[in-house]
Amino acid sequence: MNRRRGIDRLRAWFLAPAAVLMLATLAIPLAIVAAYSFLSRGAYGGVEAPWTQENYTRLADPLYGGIFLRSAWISLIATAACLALGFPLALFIARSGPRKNLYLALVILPFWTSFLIRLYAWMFLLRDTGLVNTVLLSLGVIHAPLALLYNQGAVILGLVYGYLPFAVLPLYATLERQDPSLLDAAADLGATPARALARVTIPLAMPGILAASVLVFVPCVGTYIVSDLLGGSKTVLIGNLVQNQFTSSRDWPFGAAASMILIASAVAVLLTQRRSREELL
Amino acid sequence: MDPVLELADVTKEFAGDAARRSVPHKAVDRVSFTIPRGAFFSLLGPSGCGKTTTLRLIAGFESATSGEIRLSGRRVDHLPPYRRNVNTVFQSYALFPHLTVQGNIEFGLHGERRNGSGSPAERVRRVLEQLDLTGKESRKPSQLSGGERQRVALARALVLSPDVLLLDEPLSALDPQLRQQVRAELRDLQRKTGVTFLFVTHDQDEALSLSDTLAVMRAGRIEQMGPPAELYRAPRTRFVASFLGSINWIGGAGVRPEAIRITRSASDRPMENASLRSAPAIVESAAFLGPVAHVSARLAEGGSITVRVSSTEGPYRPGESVCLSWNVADELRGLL
Repeated sequence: MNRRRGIDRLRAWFLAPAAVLMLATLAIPLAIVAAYSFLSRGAYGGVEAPWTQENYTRLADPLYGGIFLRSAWISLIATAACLALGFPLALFIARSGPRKNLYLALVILPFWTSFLIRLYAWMFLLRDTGLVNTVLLSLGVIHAPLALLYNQGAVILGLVYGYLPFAVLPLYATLERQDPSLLDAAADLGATPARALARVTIPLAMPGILAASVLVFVPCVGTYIVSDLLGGSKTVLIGNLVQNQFTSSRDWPFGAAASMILIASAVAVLLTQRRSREELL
Repeated sequence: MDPVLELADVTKEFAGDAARRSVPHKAVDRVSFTIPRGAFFSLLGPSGCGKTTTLRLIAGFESATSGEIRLSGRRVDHLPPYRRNVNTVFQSYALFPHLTVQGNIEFGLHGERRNGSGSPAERVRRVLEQLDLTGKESRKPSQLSGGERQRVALARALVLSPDVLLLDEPLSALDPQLRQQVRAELRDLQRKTGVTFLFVTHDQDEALSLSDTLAVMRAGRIEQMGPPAELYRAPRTRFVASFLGSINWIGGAGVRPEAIRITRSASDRPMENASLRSAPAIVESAAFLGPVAHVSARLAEGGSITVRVSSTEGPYRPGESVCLSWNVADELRGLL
């Protein structure tokens, strides 16, 4: 009895630092943002009384609805692209025997460099005087530089590039766990490799596909760096909207309200994923 | 005889892998046999003898280094598994966990091979009935008992009317009591369906009780092949003799434990003559096994002997002096 209570106390002590950290850096700031979203704009930034719902009412404006929709649409495309590229890659790694650890390391390797720096690298590649245009021009394939940067396509490229590992890792985890004898069984029952993939491998990988989708979609919706650097001023996403409110527009309450909507949609996506995963299992 | 499956000098060599410190070796070494249609054929041997590799070569999961495999007279050794009309019951059953019993059984009916007669629904219904799975169609494999899973694995394979059904130690995942029962059911099923069974096992009792023909494998080669009784009574090698049941070695001859009789006192000692041998011994231990008991005794001239007696005899106590006797006709001589 005493021993049990001792273990409980010890556990509380070990968990305390993490709990304090979460409270100070997540729970309290989140509560502040939530409170700000119901306050009025201060004359020189910051917030003032009185309490109001006006920030949320303003978000209903079609202008902002369009930004939300564009964010969701771009994220959806990026997620689909990450799955389409990530699934074959994860399957290849899961089936490459002793070399799979090397391949996994290669997938994770880009994380050793800051995402910001890697996005600058993309800018150098894609700009009018960048590597791609220079090579194509000098080969005579094109006669004027292609507009590769500062458009929606560049944003999607950046998102897919940045979040592909987040798709590959959960996909790899489910594929690697699959019992290889199931593929033997499928072939034994007359299934061609393509049919075995469609009827056995992919259905059994659904939990991983769901996890990969969420891990890519949620950060994509909230991104502002990728759209800021690669999209120029043309592609405003929710992330850029929020950032603008706190920097140039100095409308903190409105930025806070937009963040709250963003967080709420991320939570909704996560809950949906959890429910569908329970149905799968 | 209508041969359904013929193997001619089939060899499977695995390349060595320096990383795993394995050397090249022949898992299957010039194996040849022919199975008549409708037979129950068993491959028996210890683990690593190549019996499962032989099965995988026939199914097409591995490709033979050399040799020929013919199925109903047609060479199949270069065909992928999904084009060979054989089906496998895997040791782990390998049921599709995301599909119901029905889904598992129907899986092959929509594949490359369309064999047998009747509509898919009719065939599924028939095989569910045959394997006593009616009413369990909508269960997932995780909701089934071990015995039921095994029957689904059989149903899934048999519904395709294969030329040969390959069974890879299908009873080893079941608990011992169930194993006895399923063994009898398996034999019945084979007779009822008339499908040729190729059964791989390391269990001598299973192989002896089920097979029409039995092949004992050792180190990639078939050591001896024939009807179970013939192999048991006239093994050609010491390995076959000791792998099929236990055996005592007395002066270079093999004697089965059940061929030896025990008599208690010197006065009961049977007269030794040209057809009967006897030897004095001391009981070392006795194990009671229900209907029978295994008595282990040490011969006066050295060597330990196991005798199988009815448990109505005895009990024999350690240290007791006894006399062992056996017919010369029961001695297995000239084994390699």
